[in-house]
Amino acid sequence: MLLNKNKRIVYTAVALLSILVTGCTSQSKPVSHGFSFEDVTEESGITFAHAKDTFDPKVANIFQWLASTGAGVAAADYDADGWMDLYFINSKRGEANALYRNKGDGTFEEVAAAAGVADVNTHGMSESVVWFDYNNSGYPSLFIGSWGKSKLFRNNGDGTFTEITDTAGVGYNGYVNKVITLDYNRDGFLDLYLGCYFRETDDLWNLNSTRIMHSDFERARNGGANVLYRNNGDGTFTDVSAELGVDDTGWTLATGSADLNRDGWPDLYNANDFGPDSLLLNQDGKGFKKVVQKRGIGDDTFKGMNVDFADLFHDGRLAFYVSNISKETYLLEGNQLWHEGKDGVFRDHAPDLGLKQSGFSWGARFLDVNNSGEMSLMVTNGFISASKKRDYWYDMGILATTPGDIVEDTKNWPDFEDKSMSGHEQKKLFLNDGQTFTDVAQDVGITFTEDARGVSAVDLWNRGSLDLVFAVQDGPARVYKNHNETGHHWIKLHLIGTPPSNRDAVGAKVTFTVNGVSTVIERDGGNSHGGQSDPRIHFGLKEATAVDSIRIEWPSGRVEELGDVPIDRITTIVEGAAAE
Amino acid sequence: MIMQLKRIDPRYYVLLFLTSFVAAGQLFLGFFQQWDSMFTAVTAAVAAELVLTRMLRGRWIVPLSALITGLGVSLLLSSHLLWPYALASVLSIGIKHTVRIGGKHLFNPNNVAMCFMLWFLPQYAVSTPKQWTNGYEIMAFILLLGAVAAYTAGRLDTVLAFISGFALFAAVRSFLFGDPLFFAFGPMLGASFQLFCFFMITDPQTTPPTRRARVLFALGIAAVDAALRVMEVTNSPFYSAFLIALFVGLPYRLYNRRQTSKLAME
Repeated sequence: MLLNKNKRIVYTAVALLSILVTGCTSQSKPVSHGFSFEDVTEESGITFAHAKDTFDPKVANIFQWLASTGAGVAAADYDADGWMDLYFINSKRGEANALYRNKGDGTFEEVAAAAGVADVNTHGMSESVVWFDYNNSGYPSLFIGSWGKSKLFRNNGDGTFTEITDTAGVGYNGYVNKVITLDYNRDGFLDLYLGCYFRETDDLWNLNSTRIMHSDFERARNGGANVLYRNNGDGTFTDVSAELGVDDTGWTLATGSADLNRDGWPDLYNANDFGPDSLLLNQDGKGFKKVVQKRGIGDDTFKGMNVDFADLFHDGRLAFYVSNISKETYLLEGNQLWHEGKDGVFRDHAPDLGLKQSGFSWGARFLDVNNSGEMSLMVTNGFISASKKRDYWYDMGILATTPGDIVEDTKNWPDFEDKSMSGHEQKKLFLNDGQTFTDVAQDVGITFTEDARGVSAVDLWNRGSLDLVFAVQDGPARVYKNHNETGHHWIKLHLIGTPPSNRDAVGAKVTFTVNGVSTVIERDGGNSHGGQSDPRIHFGLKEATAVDSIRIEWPSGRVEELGDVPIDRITTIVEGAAAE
Repeated sequence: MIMQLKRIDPRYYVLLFLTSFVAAGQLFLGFFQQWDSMFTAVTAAVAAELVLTRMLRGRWIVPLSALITGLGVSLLLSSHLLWPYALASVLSIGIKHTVRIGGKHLFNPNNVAMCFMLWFLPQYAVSTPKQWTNGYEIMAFILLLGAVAAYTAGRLDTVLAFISGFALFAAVRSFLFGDPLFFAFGPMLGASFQLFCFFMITDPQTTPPTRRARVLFALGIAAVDAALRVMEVTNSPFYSAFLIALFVGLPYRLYNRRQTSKLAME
């Protein structure tokens, strides 16, 4: 029983705890940030809705889990008319993918069938997509990573595509969850890297065994092996994964590439589910070296689902954000924001910067959302939205404390039935004020709660503002128009590489110096789960009306300094030539 | 040999048990909780113990129990922040000193603090959501060490009764409610379960003095745990131990106290 003399202590403790609990749960009112987003999906004419597949009835108890990925969107100007077009993928066999041609007047027309890239899901289902100019033709081609057979469609330059999967030798049969492009050997031809999830030896539609899952929740290495296709430059590709040491068997949900050690060679980062991610440093194009730092990079026990890179600290060392899971009551591992210190140690700055928790996070993209010169971060989230009353997290919590050889067999998983799992989550737009990040998604109008997988940050109407296109799992895509009223200035560069660079200039590093502060932006090859963003380099100047300098390091190694680049317009820069 | 083992203060074995967990977790198993969490929890527990003992009893003590409490918090709790570890430790020690019957604390300090943290602050702290490892050798080592610690504390019967009860109810849950069999039994090899068995329900001060009562106490916890699992209440072992302490332990000890007073009066 409580002793009288102790009552004061207890009352004080209870009061303090009440204050703590109340303080922790208080909510702030919406505020203006100088920009807002408007849902223009309907007006734009984009009617695409993602659909999901079913699998072998032996694993029917976890169909919801198995069919929880695949929504994706990729942006590129496929017809070279100066407007960004959008390609959406579908994850159901027999369902069509969609290509929306940007008409430049705020609307889009669906042209996939006419272009020959609609009827794609014949030997599997689409899970990831990347635009890349593999043959340096000036017209981006389309690679679709699938569960089943992946496919490559060559852009003919006349608005149509031709499937060349078999002749190119890229018909990988397995479970691709993310595909990116990079020129790993800097030969001027873009290569492909496929992040794979399930083992390629299993057939999810015709299973011999139900032992198909991860063998551990924290150290699993029994996933499908990732694949690196080297572009031979003659229209064919060769699988060089094993010889270059990038055949990662983690359960890869996202892979990304950037020059992390600033040696001029593109490195790789695999965000792996159920275990350590892999940082693979490029050894002059001859191989990759895995970096593992004790209790740090490459030694995590989390559920990596995305990776994207940005020069957040303006020191030329790209920080990279990795999506993970936060779910109160069950799992609070949270996201990571890795940044390499001068001592070579990668440290996680997500807690200090306010990026730690964003629910069950998927595709995320850095973007200068308000032209401030600081990279903000859009994070999609939500796993399975079904019943609002029944939740699978309880079952997952039990599985997470159960030995891996039990978890590996789907027979031991309770039936999902109509349960949700981290469903109906509010998306996060972390606004970077140069010091820290604050979630402003609700304030600026991004209020949808469907399960999103990918986001593409793209200037759809060439206005100098980055709009957002969301790929929603098992639901209609969403297009949000950015209304930027800050008056901030901007520069957008369309880079064109010349041999020995690849024409897309993937891997080119642009350093903007404004008022003495430098920021590096690297032209990426489709980083971020479920999305490929605007290939043009977009940078905000805030109130500045000119840049001190712009320095471009091309993939070839050539370095160019640009002087008088006009602001508030899109400028095409051809490697080795003066600005147009 | 067994007698020699029993002569040593059982808290040293519990300390060895928990220290082994901490060391293995930090050095080999890549625990989410890192050294700073452990130091925060232990420091907060030891400081609270020293201050409260001084304030309430007017003396200084060697804070061995607080060390155990702090290590327990650092293992059972999982948070990316440090203050939840400190809060849980201070709560553990505070409640141990303030909620007492007949000179003994009513609730297991760690358990009641865990219940508070998990119920009121789920957005900041969860219970360790993992299996220690898939290696059965390490599992065997942990079980052996735990058994020795429980035996020296004279509470191996409690552990065995709880494990047996859990297994029985797991089979019942699987049979009646359709849980996959291995799923129902799976948690027995998890970290939280083992810590709970060997550390939480073996506290001599909060478990009954007779073997019969201890076995019933453990089976009661297993039964309530099973009921909570059917209702899909997560962290059920912590809540079931709290509920049994509150609704069975409290009346039982009050009854015992009254009986003892009556006998003394006579």
